[in-house]
Amino acid sequence: MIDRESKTAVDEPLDPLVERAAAQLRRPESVRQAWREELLAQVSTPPRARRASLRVWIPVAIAAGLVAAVGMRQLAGRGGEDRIRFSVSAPSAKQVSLVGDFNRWNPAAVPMRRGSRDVWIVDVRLQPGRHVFAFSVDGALRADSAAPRAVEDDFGVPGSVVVVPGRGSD
Amino acid sequence: MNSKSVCFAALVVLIPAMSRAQGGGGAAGQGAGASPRLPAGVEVVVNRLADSARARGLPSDPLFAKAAEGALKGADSTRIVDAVRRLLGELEVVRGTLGTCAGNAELAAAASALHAGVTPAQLARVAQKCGERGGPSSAKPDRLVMPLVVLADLVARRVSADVAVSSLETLLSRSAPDAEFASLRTAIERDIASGASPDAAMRARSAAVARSLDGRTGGRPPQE
Repeated sequence: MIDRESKTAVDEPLDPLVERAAAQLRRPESVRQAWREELLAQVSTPPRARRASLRVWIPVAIAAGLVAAVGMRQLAGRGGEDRIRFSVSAPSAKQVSLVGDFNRWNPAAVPMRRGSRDVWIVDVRLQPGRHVFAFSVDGALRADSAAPRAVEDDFGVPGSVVVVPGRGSD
Repeated sequence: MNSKSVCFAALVVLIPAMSRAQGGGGAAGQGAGASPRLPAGVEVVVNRLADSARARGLPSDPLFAKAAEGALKGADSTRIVDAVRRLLGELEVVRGTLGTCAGNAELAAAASALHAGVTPAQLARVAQKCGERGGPSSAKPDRLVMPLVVLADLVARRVSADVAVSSLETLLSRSAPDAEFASLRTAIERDIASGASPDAAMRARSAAVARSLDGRTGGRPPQE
């Protein structure tokens, strides 16, 4: 149907006014030679322009992919960690923190808060595996009497062990 | 914007993101302040030992953690370096015993058991039983960790290594879950504190756990 309408439109005689306007439009326009050459040069190099555009977007795509991968890895890491509650009774302590191999024995990294009945507590996310830890009670280290002991005590101050089960463990 | 500036912008965004990811990002790893400062010269030696560990396919994190532990506990340089060097040696021995399939946590737990006085041959027995624990198709990660932690703890409480290994083998052959090992340790610790002989406590408690496991599986102990 559309084809037939087009054919009819072409075959019909044009209005004289339209005919004159069309003739004007079809007349070649004289332009400066320099402009013409520049225009032809621009028109004749689309592939080069497209390549330049790709050079910009490929790094953007790679960067976006890497950011996404890093984000997924961080999410996966969070998912693999377990939240563990540590507690120690220290009625007269002013400051208690948790130290261990998971925070490179940094007493400032995981401060504990005083809970009810002078028990200091903290919840931390730990990766599955075996971790050696101790409590820093006003600067003095103390093992957790309820946890297995860290037998590899090379420095004369006892530590304890916590085992965080991995995915699929019992 | 040309391609060079896009690459630069991408690096500016990526480098901090990747370093955060490498750092772990867990709550336990975050916090104010820095790790205890290592005595002068120790850091260089520990870095060299860590390089050596990595070159042999061993984990280097336990070495840095050991050095930091020594620094926090006020140990002098010699003692810290000795402890790190000994740990590297132990990791190497247990890698040879457990094989390349053992995870880092298993290596650390086995090194601790070795430190407590368990021999490589005894570790190999535990590893073998543990391999049978879930059948040959079992690919449970770090399945050795809890039994080895309990083994090290009990040997440190004067249970003889041979009795402890035999008892744990009995439980491993019955596919005892990690929770059973943890409660076994607590019970034996209590018995020893009440005056029981460590070996007798180990035998009695592990036999009770084995009977309980057999009861759950219809009273048929596995062939050992």
